[in-house]
Amino acid sequence: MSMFRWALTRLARLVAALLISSFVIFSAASLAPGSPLAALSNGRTLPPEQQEQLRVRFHLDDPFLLRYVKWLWNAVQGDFGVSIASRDDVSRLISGRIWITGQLVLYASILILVIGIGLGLLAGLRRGAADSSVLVATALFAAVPAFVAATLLTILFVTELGWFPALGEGKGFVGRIEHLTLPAISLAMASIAIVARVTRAAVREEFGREHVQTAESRGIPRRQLVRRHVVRNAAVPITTVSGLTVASLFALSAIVERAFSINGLGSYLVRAAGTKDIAVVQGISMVIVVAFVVVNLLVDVCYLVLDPRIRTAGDRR
Amino acid sequence: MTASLGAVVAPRRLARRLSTIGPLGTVSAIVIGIAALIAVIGPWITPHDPNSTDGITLQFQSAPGHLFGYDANGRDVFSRLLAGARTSMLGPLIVVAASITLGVAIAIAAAWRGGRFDTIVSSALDIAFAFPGILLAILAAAVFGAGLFAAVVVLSLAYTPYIARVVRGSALQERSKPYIAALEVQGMSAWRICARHLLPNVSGIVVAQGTTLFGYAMVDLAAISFIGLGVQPPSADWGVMIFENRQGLAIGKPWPAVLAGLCLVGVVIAFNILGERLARRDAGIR
Repeated sequence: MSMFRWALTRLARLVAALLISSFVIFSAASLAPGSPLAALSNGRTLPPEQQEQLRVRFHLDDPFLLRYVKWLWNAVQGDFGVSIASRDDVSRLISGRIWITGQLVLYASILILVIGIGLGLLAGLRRGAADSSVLVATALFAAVPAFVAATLLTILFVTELGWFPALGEGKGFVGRIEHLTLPAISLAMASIAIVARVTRAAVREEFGREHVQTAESRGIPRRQLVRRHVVRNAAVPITTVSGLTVASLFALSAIVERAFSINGLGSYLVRAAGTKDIAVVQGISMVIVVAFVVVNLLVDVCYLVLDPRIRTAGDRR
Repeated sequence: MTASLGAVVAPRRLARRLSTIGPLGTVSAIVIGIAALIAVIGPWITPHDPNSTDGITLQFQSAPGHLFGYDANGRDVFSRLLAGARTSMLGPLIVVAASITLGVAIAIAAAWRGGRFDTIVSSALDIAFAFPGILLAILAAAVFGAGLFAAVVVLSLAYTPYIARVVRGSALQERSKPYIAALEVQGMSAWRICARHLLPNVSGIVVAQGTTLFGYAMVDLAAISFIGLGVQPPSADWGVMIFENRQGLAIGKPWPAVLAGLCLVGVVIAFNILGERLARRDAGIR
């Protein structure tokens, strides 16, 4: 019962987030100065019959809320309208690019989870040189924005060492990995540092807890102590910060894709924003928001697995 | 910020203030002070016109009288770095000022009223907290056109929850203290209690959080300028400079882009450290 309620509140929150963001994304277009028709036609004056076509196509004569509901209804069915610039279906344009961005985000997420949590555990479990070097390195890396990281990595690994190709997305599995390695590192760098720092702090906090100290004095082997008492409990804050950083990657990929000239969703979003191709901007923004919500859903499932209190009593974390 | 404030405070008091944020915090405050000074006077002390393309035939070359040589368009790199400090720091300043004003107002109202109002505000903040600022800024650029103004407005809104959340927690604690109840019993108006007593007592955490957010705002605005939706060329801005000089990376002339990146990262690190030290100091006082 209580677990059911917990799941229900979580779900309600995500649906609310989805509805609110879709409303923001849709209404942004109507906030634009000038008439919606002018925004749709990109400032050009169109012949009356085309204007009429646009009016019908985008339901411009309907009241605002009705237009929103119609737009949302179509969006749920995968219809985001037509791109002004290319006269192509927005959903077609999106599906052609979604995988490259998905792969980039997946690659970066793996780096964040493996390296970030790994470094955090290392620093948290071992005092001394390992700990302080991780602390210093993460303090530095956390402040390096993705596009600066992209610049520095390009200099080091493309121009100086020639290990990686500079631009584009590559063909085939190996080519793709080769092309996406530097972008994924740029995308992940600051997040790795943040996840490592939170992991370290969480591990340290658990070590200070009474039950851990009691277990230690009872002579429980360290390996078991770490696995059953420290990491198990530290897993909840680690999941929270990992979820937050991974969810933000979808929006951040726009910058990295621009820096490495990758033809993914993000760079297309930026280009569409520059040319005021509103339907494309709305469509891609919605995809990013949905991806964001899905990641949060996964995080909730992790909580369910990690924290038995949710399953039994439904306590707040 | 502390450093510029310190100039009007007596030296001994300044020393005592700085000792509470430690040596690293002091260095950060000095770095920020220098950057702020350059932001104010930078455009007047540039050795060359930052937009003059005199060296158009000397792209990425060094030249006598040009400390860091020419950039991709034959402009003086050093002058553009100095002039860029202003655009790179003015935007974040407005973002932080606006989000503090909004966030503090929301937080104190929520903490004061409590009950249903507080619950609704908190869950609204939770949802808004999750929405990525960069995505909002791209959306704004699509609607209002690329430029610093739209990005600043949108980021101010996106950062408000960061302030409101922290301040609400602090204000709730303060609200439950007996002195507030005593003031209420004395018949002091809610406005007066909030403005004269509640606000000053949460100001430490507001300054700390604002300092940290200044660094975030610098990164976000530079990123937006980097992808071409923020500060428009030929205006000098550190984010724009990294993008403009990207072609230099491939031909072994990375310095214009790298120097702009170093300026940005250096100032951002200073803001991060100072913000952390201020927050630690505030927690120590409590």
